[in-house]
Amino acid sequence: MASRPRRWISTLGAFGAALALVLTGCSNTAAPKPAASSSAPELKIGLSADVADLKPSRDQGAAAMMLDTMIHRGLLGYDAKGQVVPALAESFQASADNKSFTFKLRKDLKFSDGSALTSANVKKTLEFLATSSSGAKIGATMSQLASVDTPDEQTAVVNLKNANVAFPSYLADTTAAILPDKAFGAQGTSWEGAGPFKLDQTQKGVSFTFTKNPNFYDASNVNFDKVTVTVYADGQARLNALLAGDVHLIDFVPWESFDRVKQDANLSLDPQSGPWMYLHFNVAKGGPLANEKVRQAIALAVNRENVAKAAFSGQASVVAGAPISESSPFYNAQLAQGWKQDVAKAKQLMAEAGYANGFDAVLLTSSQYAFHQDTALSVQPDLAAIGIRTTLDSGDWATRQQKAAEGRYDIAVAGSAGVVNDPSFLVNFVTGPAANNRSYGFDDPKLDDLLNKGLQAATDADRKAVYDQVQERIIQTVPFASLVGRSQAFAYSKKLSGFANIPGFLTFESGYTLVGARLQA
Amino acid sequence: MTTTSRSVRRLRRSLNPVRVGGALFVLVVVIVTILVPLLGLPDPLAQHIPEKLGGIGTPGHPLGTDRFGRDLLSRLLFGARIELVVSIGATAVALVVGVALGMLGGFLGRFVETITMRTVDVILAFPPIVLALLIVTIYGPGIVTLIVTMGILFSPRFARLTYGQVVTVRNLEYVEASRVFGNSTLRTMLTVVLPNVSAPIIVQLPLTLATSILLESGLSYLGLGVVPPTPSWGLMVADGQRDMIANPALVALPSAVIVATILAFGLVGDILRDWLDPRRGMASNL
Amino acid sequence: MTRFVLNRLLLGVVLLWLVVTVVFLALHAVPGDPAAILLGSEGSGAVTPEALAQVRSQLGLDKPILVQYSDYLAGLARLDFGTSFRSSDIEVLSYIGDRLPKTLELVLMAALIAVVVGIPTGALAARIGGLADTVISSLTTLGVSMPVYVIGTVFVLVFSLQMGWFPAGGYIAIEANPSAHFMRLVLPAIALSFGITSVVARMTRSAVLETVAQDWVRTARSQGLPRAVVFRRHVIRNSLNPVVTTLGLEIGSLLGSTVLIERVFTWPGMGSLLVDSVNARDYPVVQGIVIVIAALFILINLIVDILYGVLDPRARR
Repeated sequence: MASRPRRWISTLGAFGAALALVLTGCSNTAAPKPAASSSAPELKIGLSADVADLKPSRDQGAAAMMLDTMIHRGLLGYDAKGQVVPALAESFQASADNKSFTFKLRKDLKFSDGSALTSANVKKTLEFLATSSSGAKIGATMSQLASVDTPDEQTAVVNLKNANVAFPSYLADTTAAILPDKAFGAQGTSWEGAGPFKLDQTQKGVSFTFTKNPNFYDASNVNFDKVTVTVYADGQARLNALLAGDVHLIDFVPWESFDRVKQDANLSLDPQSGPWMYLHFNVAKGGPLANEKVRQAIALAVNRENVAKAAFSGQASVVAGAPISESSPFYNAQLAQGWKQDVAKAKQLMAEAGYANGFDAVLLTSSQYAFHQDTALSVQPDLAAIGIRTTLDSGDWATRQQKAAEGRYDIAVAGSAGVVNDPSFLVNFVTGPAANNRSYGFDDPKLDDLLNKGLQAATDADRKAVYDQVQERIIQTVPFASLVGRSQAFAYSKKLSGFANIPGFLTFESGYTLVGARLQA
Repeated sequence: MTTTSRSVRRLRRSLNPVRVGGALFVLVVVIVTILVPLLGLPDPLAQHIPEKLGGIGTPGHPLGTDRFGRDLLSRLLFGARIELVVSIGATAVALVVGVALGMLGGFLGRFVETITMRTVDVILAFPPIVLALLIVTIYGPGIVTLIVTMGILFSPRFARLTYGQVVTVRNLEYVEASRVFGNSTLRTMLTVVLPNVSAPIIVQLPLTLATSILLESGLSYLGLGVVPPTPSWGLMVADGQRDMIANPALVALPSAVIVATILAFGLVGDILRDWLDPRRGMASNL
Repeated sequence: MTRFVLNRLLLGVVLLWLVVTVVFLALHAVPGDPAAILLGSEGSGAVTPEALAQVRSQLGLDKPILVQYSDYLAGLARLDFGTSFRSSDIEVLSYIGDRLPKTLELVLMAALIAVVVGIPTGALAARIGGLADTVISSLTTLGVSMPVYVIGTVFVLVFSLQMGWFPAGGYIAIEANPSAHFMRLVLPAIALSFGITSVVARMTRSAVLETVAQDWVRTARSQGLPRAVVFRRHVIRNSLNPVVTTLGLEIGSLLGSTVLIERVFTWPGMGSLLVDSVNARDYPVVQGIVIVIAALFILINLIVDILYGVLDPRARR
């Protein structure tokens, strides 16, 4: 009889210990206090991914870019139409040869902690971005930095080694934000900047709370006193939060749910054609894929409408040439159809290349992103139809990136956004050292040459001519086989006005439009 | 009363309509799996994108289609093959590895016992998802990796079972006798000990089959299991979730089949237990 | 007795060390470079080798693997689990400490449901027998056969999207809004409880039937005690030991397997942290979680073994 209470006690002890853990855990969680009254307009955003550590210079993905637009500002920014507009710099001037850019900073610029923002900060930031070890997203462009002169506190003169007419648009990217000195420490993070909001509280992995930054140069146009960003990694959960009214705005609306949002009278769907999906190849191995005709055959064999329907529920646009958007002055309607599906021609090309009986290949994708894998599944039968028998290699994203960077694949699915809307971004996808988003071992000096000419061409007419040649060359040598441009959509309550999804690759910079946006009561 | 007729009596007592139903279901699944190529079904991998997300009763696709326009009925039936291959493979691996560990540990004692049984403990202490995650990430997803991973995960139950039985039996007289007759340790293990420990192991087999199906579907749901486009019921549920609103059958049907199959294997396990090893199944559950 | 406990504790520590070593080696064998993950995103491009080298150095990955291993073990001895690769100011232990209670909450709630629903149901089935018994037994067999993510998905579909009774997922801290917190807890906890409840019910039923068959029950009855009293006061209490130990073991094993439920309901627990960290190749966090889960599991098993040891001296070999 005496043993029975002991047994119960030990088991109860275990439960009690666990319960205590739960309770202490609950009280350790930093919880945001509910809003005191409804007079302070609070915007609630549902974000598609967590950002553990903000390093604005790096490419940390769309969610980080949204946070960057809230906390930081660079010399330049974008407006709702995707035009480069002044931000911290109130004006800038390009030299005649496009090798030198003079920026005039606004007066009395401050970071959110009150410290002054001067041309010294600009110099330090730009030099940091130019250092190859900093891993900056715009590092390739910034490596052309020759020097930054600071004749006075309000002026910065940026000198490049080579002309680059598109340079200002790189500075408008969120990753070109001007950072305070403390961000450059060994473990420097930057949750403080010169942007419209400052970070007030974080619940790791769950939410961020921001308050209006009074030191922001355009603070009078910021119409929210408080912004709460909650992480909803699952697309359906994010959407449900919007439908339930838990948040006012979400990013990355799941493609299969576009119609549901459109049917809701209280919500607006704001889609733009954003990143583009494509195939890239391992040409270093030799073998069939090193043969231009085989790659052309692949580009002609795929049914792009099917990719759009299967992987993106129809919310994607066919891209049958180089990914230059229709709204771009460099768009060429004919060349944009260069790879229009023609299975007969594809088979013929395979035969001409000597592969009438086809060959086996490994198709690299990732199970971590459903749309990625679905794209691969969709092109598999198209490739099989011309004799290319593919097996999927579908591990998680980290594995995919490593294999792609090391060339351990034959054909790979990729999705990417250029950094800027200008066709010069194409250079990242056709040349350079081994990377995880371009063909392995691909080298086309003639194409590189043409792209270089495009950067340096004097007039727009000249540029158009060069970029036409670029597109023709791409269609012929197939450094990548474009598939579709997927639709990136924001969805928000109709009470939110002023926010806009910036077109094209700039969709991820849309957070810039939060300044000037307002919530009706 | 002879042993055979007692055995038959126990068998009859262990049956009831529900359990027999379960056993029949298992039989049907196995038969279907063998016959499936002969049934004239559409290719489970063939995509007909214009017909995507058709509901039940779509012409040509009695159970509907998924987001690639692939026939659901066909994928369910071909998926059964994959399920059986994976679960039988995993169970076989678990059986061989587990019984070997248990036998060696129980029989050889001392150092060997420590190594084998501690290995079993490590496998048990490891959170199963982590083990699966790590193995699959290292070796890449696929049916072979899946079978090996699940086999390792399930081996402890066979190891402990075998070990327990061997320890109980190893000092008994007929084992001594076998030794005295000059049989090697290995021979003794195989010919004398193994038949005596087989009953609980046989009972465990269908339960392990059921759990493998459960685990495989969970792993496929997380993207760690079968690689598409090969059909797997778990994968179909995961995929179907995205299109749940457009076509709920995509989630409901594979889910129902998973549950039914697991249930059926469990019932067969109950039959075997009550028939072969009634001491454990003191109170019959169904 | 003390020797037994000490022995088992020592064994537990050795086990834990083995688990840590296996995880450490496995993570370093896994393809995928943590530095590359930190420097890029889903749509990103090339990274300079210099940047990769610098990040790897910051993460300590450029040291020889044995050095990394011994550094890690030394840290563990100080209870320093390191910092997350994804953010140098997030300490692994506090990160886990933030998420563990959320998983525990789910698991304990499921266990509570299992006790409140499973035990009476099992006892009832044993006592009444007949049709009710068959029905209950069928339901419990069904309960262990349903994959938890299927249950969860169906719940979301029916109770959240169709009926709108509950939110579809997410987490709100209990201090911020207690009612919202519980509304979000209900569905995942119930979904998770199906398995445990069924096991507990079956276990209770078996145990009760076994106890009822024993002589002392007959003695009690023959002394004139009414059936209900005998049942309630004596039978149930004596049957609960195997049930309680089973419950303990189930909770221990459930701790590592909540990821599916957390995924379906967007519950920020340890399971989803584990999967996210493996995807991000955040070695310290993965290692930390594995240690915590394994330690809890070993601890619970130890407690259960102690109970067995107390009950059955033969087990104390």
